[in-house]
Parts: sequence; C-alpha cells; structure tokens
Amino acid sequence: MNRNLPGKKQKYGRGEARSAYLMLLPSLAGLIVFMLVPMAFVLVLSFTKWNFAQGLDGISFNGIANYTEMLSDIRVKKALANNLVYLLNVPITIVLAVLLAAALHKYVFFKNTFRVLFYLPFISSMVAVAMIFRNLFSEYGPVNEILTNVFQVSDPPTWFLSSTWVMPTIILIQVWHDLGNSTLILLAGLQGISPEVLEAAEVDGATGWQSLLRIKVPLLTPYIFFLVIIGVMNSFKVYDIVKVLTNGGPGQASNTLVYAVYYYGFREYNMGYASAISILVFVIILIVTAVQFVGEKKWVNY
Amino acid sequence: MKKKAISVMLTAMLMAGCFAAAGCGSSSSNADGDSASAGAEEASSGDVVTIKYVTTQSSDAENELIAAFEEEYPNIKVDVTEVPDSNNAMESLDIIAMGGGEMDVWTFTSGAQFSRMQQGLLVDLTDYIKEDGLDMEEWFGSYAEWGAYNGTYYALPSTASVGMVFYNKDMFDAAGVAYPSEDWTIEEYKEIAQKLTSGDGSSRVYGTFQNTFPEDWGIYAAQTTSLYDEDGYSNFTMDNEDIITSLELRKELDDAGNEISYAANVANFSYSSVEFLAERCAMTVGYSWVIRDMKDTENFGFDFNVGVCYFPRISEDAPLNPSQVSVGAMGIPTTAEHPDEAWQFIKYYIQHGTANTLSEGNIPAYQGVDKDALVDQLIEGTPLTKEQGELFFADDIYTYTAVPLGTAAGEYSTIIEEETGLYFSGEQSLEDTVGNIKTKADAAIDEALAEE
Repeated sequence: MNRNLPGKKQKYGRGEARSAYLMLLPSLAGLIVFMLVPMAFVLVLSFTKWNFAQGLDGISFNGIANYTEMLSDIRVKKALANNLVYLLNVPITIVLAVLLAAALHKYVFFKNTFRVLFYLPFISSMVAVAMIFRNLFSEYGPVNEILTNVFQVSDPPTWFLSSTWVMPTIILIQVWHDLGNSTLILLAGLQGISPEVLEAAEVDGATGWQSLLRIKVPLLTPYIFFLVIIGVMNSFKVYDIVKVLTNGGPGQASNTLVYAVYYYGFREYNMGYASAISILVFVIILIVTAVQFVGEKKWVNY
Repeated sequence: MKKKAISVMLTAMLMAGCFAAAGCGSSSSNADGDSASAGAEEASSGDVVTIKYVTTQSSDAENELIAAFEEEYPNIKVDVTEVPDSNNAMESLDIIAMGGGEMDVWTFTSGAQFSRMQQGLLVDLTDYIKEDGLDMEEWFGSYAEWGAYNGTYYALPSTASVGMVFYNKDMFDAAGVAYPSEDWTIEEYKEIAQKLTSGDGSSRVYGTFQNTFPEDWGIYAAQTTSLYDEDGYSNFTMDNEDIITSLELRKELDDAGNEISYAANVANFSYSSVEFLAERCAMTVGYSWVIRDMKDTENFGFDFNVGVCYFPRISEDAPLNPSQVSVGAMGIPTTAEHPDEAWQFIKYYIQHGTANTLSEGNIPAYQGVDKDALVDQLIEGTPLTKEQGELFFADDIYTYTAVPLGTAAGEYSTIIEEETGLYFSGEQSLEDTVGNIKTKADAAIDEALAEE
C-alpha cells in the first residue's frame, strides 16, 4: 500500500500535467503566435532594411548598420535622455504612495471610498487622461488661472508647450495616473504586517514617523521592489501620453524611445531601424531589471 | 512573507502578460480572418470582382456615386470601409495597405501621397494612363503634378484645398478700415492686422489668424523661393530673404498680439473656421474648407458679411493672385488584389465625384466639368457671392505649396515643423532655427541620396 502510493501519485501526476498543458494550450498558442514569434521577427528585422509595403520580398539584410546608425542619431539620443529623466516618476510615485497608504491604513475615515477614488485614474485610459490634462494645463486653463489669480504668479509656465516644463508635466500626469495602483498594492502589504510588531514598537515609545520609516517601510520592501521593477519597465515603454499630448514636441523635448520607434516605423517607413530601436529598449529594460534583481539583496527584506 | 510577495508579483506579471497578449492578439487575428474570408468570397462569386475602397470621409453623396458606379460596371462591386478621420487617419490607411488584400483604392489628403510614392507603396499608373489615353494636363491642369513623383504618375489628383484669406467685412466697416486691395502685400496685411486688433483677455479680437500646419509659416516665402536650393539641398540660410521674412512675419504678429499665439493654437487644436466664424479674429488665412464649415450652421453659426481674397504677396515682385493649394489623390497600393478594377473606380470617381468633393469643402482637381455649376455648388448655403466663389476656380490664380516635395521630403517637413515650433514659441533664436534646419535637412537629404 505504502509502496504503491508514490508510484500511483506519480502516474496520476503525469496525467494531471498532461491535462494541465492541454488546458494551457489555447493561451500558450496565443502567446507563441502573437508574442514570441513577432518578438523573434523584430530581432531579425533589426538587422535589415525593410519597407513594409513591398511585403516580405522588400527585406534586405544590412548587418549591424541599424545599430551603428543609432550611435549618431540625435533623435534616438534625445529620446534616451528623455526616458532617463522620465524615470523620475517611479520614486515620486512610490514615496507618495507610501505616505498615502500609511494614511489610508490608519488615519482616515471612509477608507473604502478613498481607495476606490484613488484607484480610478489607474483604470482610465491614458489617452483620455492626457486629453483632460491638456485642457487643464492649457495657456488659459484652470491650472494657470488659479496660479495667476490665487497665487499671483505673473508669468505661469506654458507646461507641455515649453521645452523646460514638458517633461515635468508628463511625469506629473504619470504619477497621478499610477498613484492609486501603487497605493493599493502597498496597502495590501501594510495589512500583512502583524499588529504585534507595531504594538511592540508603540510600547517601546516609537513615534508614528519612526514606526513608518523603521518598521513599516522595511517590511514593505518586497512590495516596493515590485513597484520599482514594473514602474521602470513601464517608464521605458511610455508612448501613449507623448503621442496624445505633444507628439514628441516642442522640438524634440518630449521625444521618447518608443515614440522614436513609431516615428521611424510609421512616418519614415523604416521598419528595420524602428525594430533595432525596440531591441535597444528591450536590452535596456533587461539590463536595468537584472541589475535591480542583483541589488535587491541589499535592501529588500523578506 | 516571501511566498506572499512572490505570489503577488507573479499574479500581477501574469495579468500584465494576459492583457498584452490579448491586445496584440485581437488585432492580428482580425486581419488574418478577414483576408481568409475575402479569398472564399472571391472564389464563390465568379466573374464579379469586389474591390476594397477605404476612405476617411464617407458621405451620402459618395454612396450615391458608388451605387452609380456599380450600375455602370456590373462586374465590379465596391466594398467601402470607413476609417475615422483623425490626425492618424493616413497612418491607419498605411497599415491597412501593407496588410495586403484589404485595400484596392487608396485615398490621400493634402499631399500625403508623396511620401508613399517615394517609398514605392503605389502602383505605377503610366500604362493605365497610356492605355486609356488620359491627357493629364487636360484632366488636371496645374494640379497634375500632385499625382506624380520624379516624373512618373502614381496617383490621380482628386481634391484640392485652395487657400484664401477670409475676412469679416463688418469688422472692417466698424473700424473704418478699407478691405484688402486685390494686389495686397504682407505690409498691408500686417497693417490691417494691427488696426483690427482690439480688446483684452478672453474677449480680445485679433486682427488675423494663422493655422499651425507645418507648412503654414512658409505661405509667403514659397511664392518666390523654393525650399530646395539649386543643388537640391535645404534653402534655409540667413541670406534667403524670403524665408527669413516669412518666418519673422509670423513671429512679429504673434509678439505684437495681433494674432493668437502659435503656442495657444497648438494647445487648443484651433483652426481657421473655429476662430473666424466665432468672430475672434477679423481675418484668417484659410482654405476652401472654411466654406464647408460656413454651411455647417449647427456647429459654426455666424452672422456677418464675409470677404474673400487671395493671399497677400510677400513683395511687389511676387506673382499676382497667390494661393497655397494642397491636393489629395487616389492611387492603388502595390498590395492591391484587383488593380485593374481599382483603376476603373478611381477614374470614375475623379470624373463623377465632383459634387462629393465640393460637399467636403474641397475643389475638384478634375478640370473636365462645367466650372459655373461647380461655383454654384460651392457657394450654395453660404453668404458668398458668385464672384467670390469664382476666385477658387480662376484661371489666373497662382497656385503653389510650402510643403517640401523633393528629396527626403518627409524628414525635411518634420525638421521644419520641430524647429520653427521652437522659434515661434520663443525658445530658439532665428539664427539657430535656420541653422538647425539647414544642418539637419542637409544630413537627411545626403542620407536619402546615398540610399538611392
């Protein structure tokens, strides 16, 4: 009986595995056909010059020419620099989310209402959000009217129409959009912290700030790590907001890498070069994420 | 703790993956499915061929036109797909065209055809034109060049938007300012704009209004100079007086507050009809589509006397009656399954679609129709007089464009748009703007030449 059990279990397990794979098949097929194959295709394309209208016959290999061209391409360099600036949205969102989550966790009435309210921006389409902010931040929009009339600012910024202000404006919109989601994830983390730990700290005389910074934040690090990884990835992929709000302008002040992919692919019909840029984005995200996983050991407490 | 965190992470990642897969999946599978069904249809329907016509502006007039075409050509059926008319409409059409089998007739607005011709996305029409004995000069007059690239025809010009200055006669009368003279220049234009500006804040009425189309800065320069120099490189230098004057004119009017600033325009997506018909400006550099909007009383109700005249000339040396035109076209994508039938349709559409073109506020590029009737159709439902309507069709009109149409045209246009935008919003000096355009455009032109 006992001797039979492992064997039987194994046999049963194999069958189970088979049916599991069968059930996975539809989505797995989708994943392979619509994600992995196109990704491989993009890699191949990045070594070619391809005018997509001529069909597959139009593909001609040109080695690493696309990659060497990128080194001297002002548009790509500017896009990369803008992407790096844009990364600022991640720490800003997280700091605000920690404060907000701590407040929502303990100090606020109507918690559930607020949770829903804060989460709403995250489920709104970025295109719609960008359009609304476009109006809010227009020359005589509500924001500038308040700045001039309430705060007596004589010369308010022109926001997304100025090279200086366009990136801060976009970062602000992204922070507003993501804040609710980050807050909710951190809130889930806070609820997982055992009350005994906090009570012990209170007994030992820890102030609210101390217990937040010394106990809650360290215990939240796994969640923060998750938010950093996802936030950084998304930052490198930013496109919709730029397309709707500024088309990369003024000049190239808000041009980003994925916008450059769009520009070269669909404005100049240079699919090979556009593919090479998307491979660049992929490699950057891969490296940054790998570095983060290495660094993780230094600051994340499980 | 650790387990929990990992679960949260994994769940979220999986969810992200699902969404991404679903997003990519739906669009691609759609395209596949459609082409498969198209094949089946074709096999079962014998001799009748269905051509796919994709448009951004479907209308009743057009539907009637298509019905008439199908009656005359019983072996051709037209399958109409409407793509929403947005800023990205031309790019949507690109994607449909490159899919293959989804489009037989490609429609372009305002010069969008040139970059597609340059990229070899369109069927060479030379043989069709020769076979059917089309005299392009006779059919299209000066608009013919909008169908050709490097001397080869890849499209038939369809609709022209013809530039005019529209002005509010009531405002001129109230201020005691004389209407623009027939041979006016930019000096007179500036003067009038200055005189007719009044008020402050949101109730300010501006002397004039200019759109923010990438080429609109150059509507004066292009009367007497080309964007390319003799060697085919960028003509942007500080020595080119026409280009400098043209750039400075817009900046000057902006800075003096005689027109809505470039930045405000960009922010508000505003354009001629909106500002002019709402009486927020006394004049506007506009195009024939302002007339379409005049007819749309629901959205643009207005009650004042309208004057129309040609663009002001950059100097006394410039040709009389200048008007910037921008012409759309119809062509056949190289991926088309039924190019012959598509050609029949395009030819028919160009010849018989003039009413539809006028209803969209465009002037038909086709010259083989009675102009008198066209003028009547154009001004119908507007306070414009017959004489004013005739300006759009006049034989002595000098048409030109400030859109670069030569080597590396697309890149050149983007460079101009980006750099002049910085200049108009006061972020870059005139010298830097002109210098940057020259350097960048020449590099793009060199690159394009190297590839040829």
